[in-house]
Amino acid sequence: MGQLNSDTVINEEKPPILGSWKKIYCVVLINVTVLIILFYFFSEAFK
Amino acid sequence: MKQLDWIVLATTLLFIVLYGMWKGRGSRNIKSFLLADRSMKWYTVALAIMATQASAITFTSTPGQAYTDGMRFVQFYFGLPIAMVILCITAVPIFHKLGVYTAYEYLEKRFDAKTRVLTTLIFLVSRGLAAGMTIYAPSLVLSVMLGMDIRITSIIIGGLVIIYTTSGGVKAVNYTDFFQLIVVMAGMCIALGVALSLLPKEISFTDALSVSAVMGKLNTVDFTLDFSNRYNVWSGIIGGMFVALAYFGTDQSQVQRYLTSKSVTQSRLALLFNGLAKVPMQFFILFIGVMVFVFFQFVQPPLVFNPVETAKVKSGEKAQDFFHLEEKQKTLFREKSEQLREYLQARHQHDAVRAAEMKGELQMLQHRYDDVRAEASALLAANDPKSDTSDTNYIFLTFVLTYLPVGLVGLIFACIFAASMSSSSGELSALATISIIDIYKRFVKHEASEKHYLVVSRIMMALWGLYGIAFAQYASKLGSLIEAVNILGSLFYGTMLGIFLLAFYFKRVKGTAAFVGALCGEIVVLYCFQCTSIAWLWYNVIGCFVVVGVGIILSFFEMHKTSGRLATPYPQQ
Repeated sequence: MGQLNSDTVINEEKPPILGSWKKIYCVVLINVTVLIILFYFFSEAFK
Repeated sequence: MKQLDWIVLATTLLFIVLYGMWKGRGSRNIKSFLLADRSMKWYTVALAIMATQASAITFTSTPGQAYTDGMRFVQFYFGLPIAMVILCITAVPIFHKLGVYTAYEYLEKRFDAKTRVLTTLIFLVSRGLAAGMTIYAPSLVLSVMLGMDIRITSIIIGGLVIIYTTSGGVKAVNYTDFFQLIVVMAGMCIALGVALSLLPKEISFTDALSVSAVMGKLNTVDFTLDFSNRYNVWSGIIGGMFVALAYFGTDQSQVQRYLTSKSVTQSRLALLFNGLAKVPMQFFILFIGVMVFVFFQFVQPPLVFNPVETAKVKSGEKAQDFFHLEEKQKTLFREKSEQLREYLQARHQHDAVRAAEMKGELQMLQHRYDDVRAEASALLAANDPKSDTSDTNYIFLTFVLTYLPVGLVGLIFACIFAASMSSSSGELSALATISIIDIYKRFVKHEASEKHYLVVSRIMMALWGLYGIAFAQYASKLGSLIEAVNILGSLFYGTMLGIFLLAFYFKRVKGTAAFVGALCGEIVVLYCFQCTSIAWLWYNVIGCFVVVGVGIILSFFEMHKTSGRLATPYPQQ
């Protein structure tokens, strides 16, 4: 059986929005970062 | 519950079953039955993923957890979006490309049969017990709150799930999950609205937030690095990411959901939607618990929220002690309630000095109040050592049963049943798929007709469902084992993830190295569990690193041995 790794997989269908998967991944990661910051300020605001 | 509530509950459950049977009709082979012909749209899969993950206990226990412990639990989900991105880059395209039915099928293609068998057994043991729990835990809570026998609630949940999963397979599971999550979230939104509307008229939304903050319930983010602290930003991002990687990347109950998607794109979109929506969703559910807490600062709550345990202690030898504690709690409640009003007044008048003084006093009062509750809990244990001393699961449902209007109570209970059914159906479907593909088809009957496998798949689903119901009937007799079942998953997830990481990223690692690495990883995790105070979220990280480390070292020696052999001019006999 040949090696099956991520680099052997060629399947780069374009996502329906934003043009590339990298951009969509960035949106998801930025979203969680923003949420953590918002939660922090939310907690602090009522302290 | 009133008659209207029962009608709402029965109608919702009946609709879910009929909807599942209708949407899942027409399965003619196992590809259709176990993978829905890989035809599902991303939004159905996305909600199915979230519904499978969120069990009934999520919706009953999470608000209760916020009530007692504040909102810090939300940090557990901070690593999930990162895990979703990693899985979209690695696991999703590989699983799709190979066209596998199960995640463990891939491991035989990549390593060998023994690694596949090991992971299959780990899954069947850990998720088999968890499947029993997904029926037992909500059955217990619902039986206590509705005054029904646990055998009836578990048969209702398990029986309804068996009907639509055996008839419609994974397609029925996905569509009902989709619908169930919508019903559950609608119910939770209504519950929040009612909680806010029931607050005393002079308490505004901002006041409610101030009350929850001063009582320490808005502890959403904690940046302190402490390995024994279960929930902080670091354990959430790192530990939570590893848990999510293991759960969504190696647990068949989740992998099966996104394998039903039409394409890599659809699977990715489903997982990324989960990455975007999961943290706000958990925040929202916890926030409901905090608002219920604020409500109970102005309306007298019971000392213990579990009505069965309360009745038991009141009719036992410790009744006088319990009544005494109830009096103490009432006095403390009145004092706390008055002081909170004064505190809010000081804030309205911008009297920062007075507000700061009152803050300290209020926190002292809350500590005393918590101590009284802890004493009551100890009393329950003294009265009956087998009693359920934690009432977290009953806080939200007590609020629903006591204060929500007729009709809505039925809807919220329908939500809890629906949530329980959605996670149970996901578990049953995954267990049946593993039993068929990784055991029956692989080792028992390799060549048979599609019709044969379809019949056996249906039988497997029914058998796992019956097992879940049977587990629920006897689980109360297992005592502390139930707690062990709950942490069982965390003991194996790290090892599972380590094996998959070796498979995805380390080309040179072969089957034996991965297998030995997995055994070493499991030994280290079990050692940490037995002999250290490390918080369980870190077990996944430790287990994973040991598997990967040992796997790489062994493969290095294997390579060295192989190259040594190749260098020998005459092959050894």
